[in-house]
Amino acid sequence: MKKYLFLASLALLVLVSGCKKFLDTKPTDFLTTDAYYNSEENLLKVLAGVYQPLSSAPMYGDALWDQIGAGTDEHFRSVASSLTGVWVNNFDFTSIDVNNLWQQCYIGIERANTLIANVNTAPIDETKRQAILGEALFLRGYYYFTLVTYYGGVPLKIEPTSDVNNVTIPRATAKEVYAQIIKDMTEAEAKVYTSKQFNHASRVAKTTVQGILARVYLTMAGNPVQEKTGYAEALKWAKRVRDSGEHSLITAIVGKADGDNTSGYSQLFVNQAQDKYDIRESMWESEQKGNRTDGYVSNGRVGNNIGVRFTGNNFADTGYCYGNLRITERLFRLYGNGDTRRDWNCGKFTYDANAKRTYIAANRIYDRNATKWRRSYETVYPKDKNYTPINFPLLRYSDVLLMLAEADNEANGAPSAEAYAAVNMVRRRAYNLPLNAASSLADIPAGMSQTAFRAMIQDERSRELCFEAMRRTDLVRWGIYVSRMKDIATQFTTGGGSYAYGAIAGNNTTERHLLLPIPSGEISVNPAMVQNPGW
Amino acid sequence: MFINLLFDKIMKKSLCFSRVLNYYLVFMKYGIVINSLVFCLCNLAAAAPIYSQVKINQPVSIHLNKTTLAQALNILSAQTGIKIAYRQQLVEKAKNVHLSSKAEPLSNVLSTLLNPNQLSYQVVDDMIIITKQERSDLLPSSIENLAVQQTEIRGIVTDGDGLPLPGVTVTVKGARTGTITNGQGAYSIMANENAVLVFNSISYVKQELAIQGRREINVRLLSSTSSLDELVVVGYGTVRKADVTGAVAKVNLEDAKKAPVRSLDEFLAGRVAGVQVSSVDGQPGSANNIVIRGNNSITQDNSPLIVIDGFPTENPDLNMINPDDIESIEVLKDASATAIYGARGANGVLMVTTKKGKNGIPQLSFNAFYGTQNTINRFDMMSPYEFIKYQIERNPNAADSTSPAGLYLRDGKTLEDYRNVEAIDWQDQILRNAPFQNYSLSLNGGNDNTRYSVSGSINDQDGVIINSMYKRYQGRMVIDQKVSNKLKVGINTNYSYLQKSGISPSESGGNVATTLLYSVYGSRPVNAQRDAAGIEDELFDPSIDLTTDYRVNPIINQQNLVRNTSSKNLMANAYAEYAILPELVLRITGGVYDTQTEFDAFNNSNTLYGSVRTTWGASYGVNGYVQNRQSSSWVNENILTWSKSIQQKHNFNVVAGVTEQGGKSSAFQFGASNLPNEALGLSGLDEGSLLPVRTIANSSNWRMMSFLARANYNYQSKYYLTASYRADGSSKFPVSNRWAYFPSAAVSWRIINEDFMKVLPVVSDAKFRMSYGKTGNNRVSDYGYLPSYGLPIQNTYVFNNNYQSSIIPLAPGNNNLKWETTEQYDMGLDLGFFKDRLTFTADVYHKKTFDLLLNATLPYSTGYTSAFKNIGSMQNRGLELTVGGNPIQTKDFNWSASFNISFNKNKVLELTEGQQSLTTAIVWDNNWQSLPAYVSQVGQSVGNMYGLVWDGIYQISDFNRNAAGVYTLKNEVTTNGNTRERIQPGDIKYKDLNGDNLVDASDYTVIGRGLPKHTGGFNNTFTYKGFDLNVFLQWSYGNDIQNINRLVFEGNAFNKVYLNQFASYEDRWTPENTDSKNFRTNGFYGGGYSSRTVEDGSYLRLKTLALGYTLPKTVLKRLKIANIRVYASAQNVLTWTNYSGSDPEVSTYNSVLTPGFDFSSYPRARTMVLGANLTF
Repeated sequence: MKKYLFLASLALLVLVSGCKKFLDTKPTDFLTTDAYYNSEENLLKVLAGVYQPLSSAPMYGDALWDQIGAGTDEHFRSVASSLTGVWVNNFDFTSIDVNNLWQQCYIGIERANTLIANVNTAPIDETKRQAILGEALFLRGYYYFTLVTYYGGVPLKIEPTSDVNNVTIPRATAKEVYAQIIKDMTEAEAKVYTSKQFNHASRVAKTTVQGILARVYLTMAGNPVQEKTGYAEALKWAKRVRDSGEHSLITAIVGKADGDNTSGYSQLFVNQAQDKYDIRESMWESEQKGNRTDGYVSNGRVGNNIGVRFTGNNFADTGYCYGNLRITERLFRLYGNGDTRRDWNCGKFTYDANAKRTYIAANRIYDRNATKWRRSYETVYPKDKNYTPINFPLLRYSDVLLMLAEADNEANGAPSAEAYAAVNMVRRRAYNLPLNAASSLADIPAGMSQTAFRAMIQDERSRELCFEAMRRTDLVRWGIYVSRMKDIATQFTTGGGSYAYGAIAGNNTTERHLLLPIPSGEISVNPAMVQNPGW
Repeated sequence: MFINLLFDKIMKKSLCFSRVLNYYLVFMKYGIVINSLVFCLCNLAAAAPIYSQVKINQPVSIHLNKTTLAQALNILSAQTGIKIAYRQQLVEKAKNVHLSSKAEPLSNVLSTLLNPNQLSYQVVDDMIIITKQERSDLLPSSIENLAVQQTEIRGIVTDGDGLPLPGVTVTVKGARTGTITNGQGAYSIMANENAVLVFNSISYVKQELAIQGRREINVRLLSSTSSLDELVVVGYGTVRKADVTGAVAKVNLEDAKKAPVRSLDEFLAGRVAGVQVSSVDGQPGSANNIVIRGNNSITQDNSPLIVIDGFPTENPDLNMINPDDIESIEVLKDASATAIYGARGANGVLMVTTKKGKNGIPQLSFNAFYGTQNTINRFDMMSPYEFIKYQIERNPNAADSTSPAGLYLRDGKTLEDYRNVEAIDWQDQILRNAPFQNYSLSLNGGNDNTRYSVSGSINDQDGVIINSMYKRYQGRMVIDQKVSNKLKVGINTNYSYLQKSGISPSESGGNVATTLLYSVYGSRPVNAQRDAAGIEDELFDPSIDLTTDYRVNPIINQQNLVRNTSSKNLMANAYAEYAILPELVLRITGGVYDTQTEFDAFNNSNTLYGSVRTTWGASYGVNGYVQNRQSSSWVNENILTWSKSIQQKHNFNVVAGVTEQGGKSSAFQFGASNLPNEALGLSGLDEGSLLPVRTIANSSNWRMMSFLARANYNYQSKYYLTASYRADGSSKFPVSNRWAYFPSAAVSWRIINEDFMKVLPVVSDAKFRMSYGKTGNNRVSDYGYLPSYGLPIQNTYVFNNNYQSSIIPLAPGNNNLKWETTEQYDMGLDLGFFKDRLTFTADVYHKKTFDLLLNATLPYSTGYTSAFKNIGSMQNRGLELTVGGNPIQTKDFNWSASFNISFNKNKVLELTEGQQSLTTAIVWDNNWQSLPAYVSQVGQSVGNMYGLVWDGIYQISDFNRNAAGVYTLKNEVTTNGNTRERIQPGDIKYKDLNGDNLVDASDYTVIGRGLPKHTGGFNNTFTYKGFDLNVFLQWSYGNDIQNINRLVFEGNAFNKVYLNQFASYEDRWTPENTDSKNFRTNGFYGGGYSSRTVEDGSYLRLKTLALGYTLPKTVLKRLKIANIRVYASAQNVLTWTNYSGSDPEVSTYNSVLTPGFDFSSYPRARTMVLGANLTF
């Protein structure tokens, strides 16, 4: 008996001593963190992950110009039965668009944080390392910039999430967020490559950082933060872009004229449909590619949700487009005669059932789709029904020029000659005129007051940059969002005809819509959060 | 040797004070040699029965040549584990014996040994006592009895089936004489003709019969309904039912198996109190959800641990087991019973034991049934006339070729012309009467050294929806071999090949129209005038805009769609059992469980996902993919069992052991698109282009190690104490939290064994139980605690027009992850009355689960959506009652019944930090993907239905009417979420709960109860001569169902054109029909789910009805067949419910958070079969 007991306890002992090793299993499906930061190649993949949220549906793949971007004075969603949603300002903090935008930004921030924390592991050339770090810093800033403009002050998190049990981060003030954005972007500016070194618009170049810094300062100077010193800073950064000599407005079409693509302006968006870069003007784009037959799903809804409506089955040439985004009368009427941008942005035709063009009668303004991107120009065949390879512009040189003009006007109390020059250059291009020759047709009147110039810039930004996912935040920073939406509602009610329902968005708009609510996905599990006013 | 001596002494001493008062003088005088020291572990199958008992009828194989009787009795005792007591004097004089018996009853062997020596034996309590045949030396008083004139009475004792019953003790009442029936059940006894004979045998109801001058008395003994001597399988051992201290229930398999079903989970519903079994829908092979005593976990799996022949597995495919192979199923419910399974016991344990070989002549059994299944319910759809009328109401104006008028009312046709047009019955085309057949053959036999059981079965079940079926081919082999008196080994292997085909009808591609039955219910019931070919022959309805409605011809689609799953399952267990000492047995087991599953999907050009005209087909053309999954796990258990009884008073059983288990799994998939030759099917995948989004390659592994111990002690079978302790180490947790400890304790008091209970003769059993314990749940992903990175193709970015794959953090990990723990108190009472003809069991329990392994929502600001955290707490309290009875028991007719009911009350105590409620959306359609359908709130039960409270319909009185006849909603009347101007009389109305006159998300509230208030079953078996009838009822009460079919087909919530509706929507609001409950055409507005479609899901179901007839023995003898039973059996015979959907047992998106959601569920079938059981 004793013998057996002894043997049994011996066996137990062996087992116990072996059990520590026994339970020490290793995952077979993923590697430890270090293994992902061990080479330049891998670091670039990590960096791609930081960029990737930009092209996702909640951001520039769809929502920022569609669900969240619609409901401005430029375009609206023409779905009569669509009575709830951000685009009609009838939504609450559970809205999927409000949730997803917030979430994507923080996914980008977390990926940037992880890269920044681990960037020194890889044994690579220091210049390359600093460039990658610079891009990550910039992107973190950019995601925070998106958050602060749409939601106000947000939780400021610049370290990777390491402890899931300690996740209640309170909101920082908008000013604190801006300070971090500026810090990150300024640091990045010194590290990243120049656009000439890239020669494509996928990654962030030095001048891109400068241009976005101008936008950041300009926005911070406006509502609600009103840090007025921002105007001078914005002017400084915009001028750096101009003075770099790397950028200019493109003025010529490529290939044969087709009657639609008639100017350098339209050529920009044709390029985006054809995956062609022209970094002179299109400085940074959110990337989409392919038609899904290669198995990748890196494509978005640009051209499919916005574009010339065609929902027939024979969409091989025209491309399939829901075309639910239509222009406002206000936008249409902003354009002067000869401005090529009008009929490019506010398409003058639709397709019939046989994919043949039907031109829209002059008095049927609301029949016009928002058509800045057109699937007929895509070069990837066969065209996928719902997903397109069309890139979305994140920074264009014309925007930099208009920011320069605006900042100049605000910082100096009145527009300087430089401001006039910048605006006129943009307008002359639109009229297909030489950029450096004065034009009575295209040029803005001289001797404008600060207020008049400001109003002109506000309209010029619509003419030039409509649908490019900036209007809502522009109107907010100018402090005219609510009043402008009310005006648009009146315009719909009086002249909207069958589109009178377009007034819903304006009618619903109140002060609380200056910011989106803190989404349910954050506030319900983060007790440290405080909701935005009115929500 | 020392132990032997000691034991001798103890036994001598103990017998002095033993209960056998009549014999004490004899013992004192002659001294007794107790031969057996062994409380032997005579049951090979289970580890160790804790108490032996005299089974006078048990088969014995013995070979004796010139052996002394004393030696022979020693051998017998050792072999059977029964103590045999005798006076040495008696035995010394006996002749040497020669005997060779093969699986003969012990009684026969004893008679053969004793008769030539003029010896006899008697069974007294748990021992056999050898006596002289004339008995006069023992009982002088009986001489007087003998003096009275006696006659010889003869007869045969049979069981309920008329089979001879050997080993029945036949005694004369009041006298001490007795005999035992022989192998043919025959007996003869001398008795006074006025005497009363008593027939007694274990597991049978004792019967007393007056002789009344008869010479021949044949008796049929009925098996007792509740036998306390029945062995119950518990974790790492077996125990007599009377000695169970925890809440353990044994499934009445004899009746359960009468249900014509494929797998054991299908007959389990309603059989055992506290066990809730519900299926997702009626698809053959669809998952059954087993929940014991309520849900513990909020986001993790709540199914019980299933221990198959000692192999513990989570979520095994129960289809792999042939129900005919099952010997017993026990359900371990309270913590005392489950804590021995430690970290995996919290959800309860289902012990499934398969049949082993049995001693005796080989027995060949053949069971077969064949039958048919048809749907219980179909939906009444609108007739052609009603359909066209509705379509014209929807769209009265347009007269173009695609408008209703343009389609149906051309060339002078009027609506009235469609009055008597026959409808296209899409349901009739997709549903069918489906055959169901099952054949199983088994061979069972063995001798004392080797026992075997070999069986094989084929189960073939077609689904009631075309192109869907389930098949099983299965085989099992069990061998038990006795190597020596000390060593036994055995192996049990089961292999099954399972095949399933057919898409799940509720599977949705994110759009309502992609579900199979949407097209069945919704397709047009009538051809339009221009539909020359007829819409039945076309894949797409030419009048439907494919961009807004993905409807396809469901028949063509279903005929062409390939969705096949096949799996190979191997489970093999082997053991070696070594009796180190008679009381100390070491059992070592090893097992493997291997599953290989292949899933094939193919979409040809005639399917929704492959036709170039659909979104998917346009991108991917003809496409398909193949997935292979492997999972294998192994277990090794080393268990020591020590049993000892001291002085017949102190009974010990101690189990201790070490177990190790591990597993690995992997999945690989590839797919290709735009296949040029669709006729090649999946073989043509190599001709298409590889689809990286379809590529899956993953693998994982886990390990677990445990130490366990349990001690059972009882004092005189009155006072019981059980304590167990288990330590579990798992690789699924970080090093610091790897080990967890799970204690439990139980006490029970068998009141019936107290002297004072003798004054209450009607009470035949009384036991009170109490237990407490901690158990765990480790159902979390293998490496949930580690942060992980990956390169998902979905996250590929583009640099300079080249794809750039992205490395992204996928999960944050949690370095503090640990076990989820459930603490459970249980209190139970077992009562028996009238010799257990009426039994009663009640249990109350209180469970609290804390440190919930919650896939907890993280604030988005972390960059992640969720992570496994130990947070939150849930409570379940409940009451379970089981009543068993044998109300009628006569010679020919018998009725036995069993009724059980369980109440469980679930309450969420805590969610993730600060979270007061957790809402869950269901992605059955993208438009509804962000609308919360369910809510789990702190303080309420988990998984309640959530949404707006339906408030009927806006009536004309709610509106102001202006001169132009335009109705405007009065300002004091709430909106329904729509803008005020657009609301019209006849529109749907919801309750405005917060009083702001607007209905929106802030008016959401709980609108339905996901969990039932009580569930139960009522089983009845009637036998009359050779006939047996089983009637089994099962119910669920108090749960609601969110009937989404009504949302789509009773009012057209999606506002789809030409979508047929339920016939019930013909009655809808019109200015003339304002009383209707249905809103007007186009009158739907939905800002969320509403109580309009929430229905009471309570039901009572006549689940099984089985009538059998067993052929009389006389006929069988001529046929040389041991037994034939022919039967007709039906499943899901009748259902009483107020639920308007096809079946109330439904939960198409089943999870703890989302119970009872019904959309496009596979219709449940009623099964009717004819079958036979043959035993040769």
